[in-house]
Amino acid sequence: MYELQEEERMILSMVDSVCTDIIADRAAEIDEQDEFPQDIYDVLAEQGLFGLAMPEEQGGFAVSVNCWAQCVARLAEESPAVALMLFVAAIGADAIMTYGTDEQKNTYLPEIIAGEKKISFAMTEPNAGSDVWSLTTSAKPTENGYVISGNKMFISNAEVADLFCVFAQVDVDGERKPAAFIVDAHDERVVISAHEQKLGLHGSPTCPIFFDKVEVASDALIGEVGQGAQIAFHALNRGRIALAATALGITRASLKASATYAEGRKQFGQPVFDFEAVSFMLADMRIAATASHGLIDDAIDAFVNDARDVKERVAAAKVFCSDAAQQAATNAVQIHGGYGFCKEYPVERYYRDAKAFTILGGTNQIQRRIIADEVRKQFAL
Amino acid sequence: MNVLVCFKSVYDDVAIRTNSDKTLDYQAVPHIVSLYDLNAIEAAAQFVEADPEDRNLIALTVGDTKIHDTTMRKNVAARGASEVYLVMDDALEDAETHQTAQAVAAAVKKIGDIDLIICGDGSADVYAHQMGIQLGEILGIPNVNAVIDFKAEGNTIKVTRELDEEIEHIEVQTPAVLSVLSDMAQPRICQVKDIMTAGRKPVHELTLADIQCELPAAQYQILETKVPEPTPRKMVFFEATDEGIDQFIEQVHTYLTTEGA
Repeated sequence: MYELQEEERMILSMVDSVCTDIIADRAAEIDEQDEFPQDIYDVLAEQGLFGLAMPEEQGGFAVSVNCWAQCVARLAEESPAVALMLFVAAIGADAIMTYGTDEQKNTYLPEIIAGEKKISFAMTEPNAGSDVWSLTTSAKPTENGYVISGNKMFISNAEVADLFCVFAQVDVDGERKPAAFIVDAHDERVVISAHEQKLGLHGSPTCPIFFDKVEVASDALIGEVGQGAQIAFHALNRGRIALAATALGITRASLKASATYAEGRKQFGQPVFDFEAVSFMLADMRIAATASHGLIDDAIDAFVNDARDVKERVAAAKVFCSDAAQQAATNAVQIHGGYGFCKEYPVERYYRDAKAFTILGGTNQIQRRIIADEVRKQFAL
Repeated sequence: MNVLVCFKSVYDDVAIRTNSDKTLDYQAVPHIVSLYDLNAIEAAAQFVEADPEDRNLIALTVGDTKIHDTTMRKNVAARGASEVYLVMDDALEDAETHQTAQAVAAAVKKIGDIDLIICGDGSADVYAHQMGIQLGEILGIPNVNAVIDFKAEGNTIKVTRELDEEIEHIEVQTPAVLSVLSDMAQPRICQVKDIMTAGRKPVHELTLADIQCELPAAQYQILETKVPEPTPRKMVFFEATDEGIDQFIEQVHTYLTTEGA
């Protein structure tokens, strides 16, 4: 596994303090209120966490993706909704970081790093999830830029966003070519509807957006027309790593809560920890957490080295970590018995939150399809 | 104004294990900054940051060569110190307070031009509350303990002390030593930029010879350190049932009307 550098260990330790001293007390309330916790966002911004994986030229700190992912995982132990703040910022800014011009980087990244502006990733549509080729949102070229029209769904943190990284199809001589654009979220022709009432991940608002012939200048285009799929895949890979890390946080939180409870809860005169059925569940959680960490590091290795099999390795991490988190949270509720079914104990929240990660960023079925395609190429053709 | 804050490197007590014979196992236990000194560092940093143009914070620790820990020094630098001095010498292993105070005093003289020295209330390992007092005595400068606030007006330091039943306001002239109570300032959570720049700050590694310090002889010898036997619990309740709660109330009542009365 990747060994964090000294400063990276210190950053992770700092995040641990933020979690223990600040977020732990707010996590249940964030879930209960289901409102974006601006106060916690401000803390993360003040601590510099939005600049972790950003380039130094724009005021970021350029730590390893591994360090960034471990910070996401630690935040998720307290509140996956808070961890998703880093996920949304990173996936939203990925296109600018990776394919943007120097002017775009210098214009947008410093404000995103400082927490002064929030950017969201707007790709999913009612009939297109991870399939960028099926998008129906259009960007019609004009004399000075483009006019963007269409609907987006399930856009994380949309209601608090200042900017969107929007994916749309550009008609070039009758051929539809995907492209990415930076759009001002406060434009009056951008209509953001109320956030969905979700099973879990409360506090991380997910909204539909309608782009009602939104005019953008030509310098809003990121990369080139036709590069949209490439840009989206890179951002999605970064995002899936963050989702896997968030799931790892839930697995670790489930393990910690369950081990503590199992040691204190006594039945038939002994801690329930001593019963094999319980202790084996805890052992499985530990194995899952360690394996998740390893797969995340493997995915990051593929991501930063632009490996040919990056999609497969990132998908593997996302599938394994989210399935493991769901299993760990389910077992955590089981170990807690009736108490686990009540909001008094956090495992009830872990159970609801964990489900999301088997769906977000592309369902686990799609991820397995990606992996299976690679298996066929390698062994069956 | 040059402000020097003293910190001690101690074993992380969370990681210390107990052997079967009740002795303590320090193997692989990391060193950390003594928790009370984190309060002192924060108090000193806030004082310096109130007038950053005219004030400068220097951090100093002395100890054996096991304190050679780059993370610890970066941790201190990230908290506002502009440079860190480490006096490392195995002659300082298990040093007594008066020996440590001699080494700190010699280091202060070596660094030179220090106007104000800030110490913690005590150390997390021996908690003797003596460092500031002995340091002031050796240096022949005013020393004040139980400090909960201080401000500077020229060369005068206006100090607030918290005593058992009163708050005392006094003034001392620089140079002086202040030992601050932990309540004065809660340690900050360092920001990423502080952490990333900490490693670029100067660190000065010195020995006792470098600071021309000859340690006085030790005055006592530690024969044995053991964990005390835990006090047996008088009664343990497992269940929050009505019956269990009634038993609990009865036991508390019995205790309060007999032993605890």
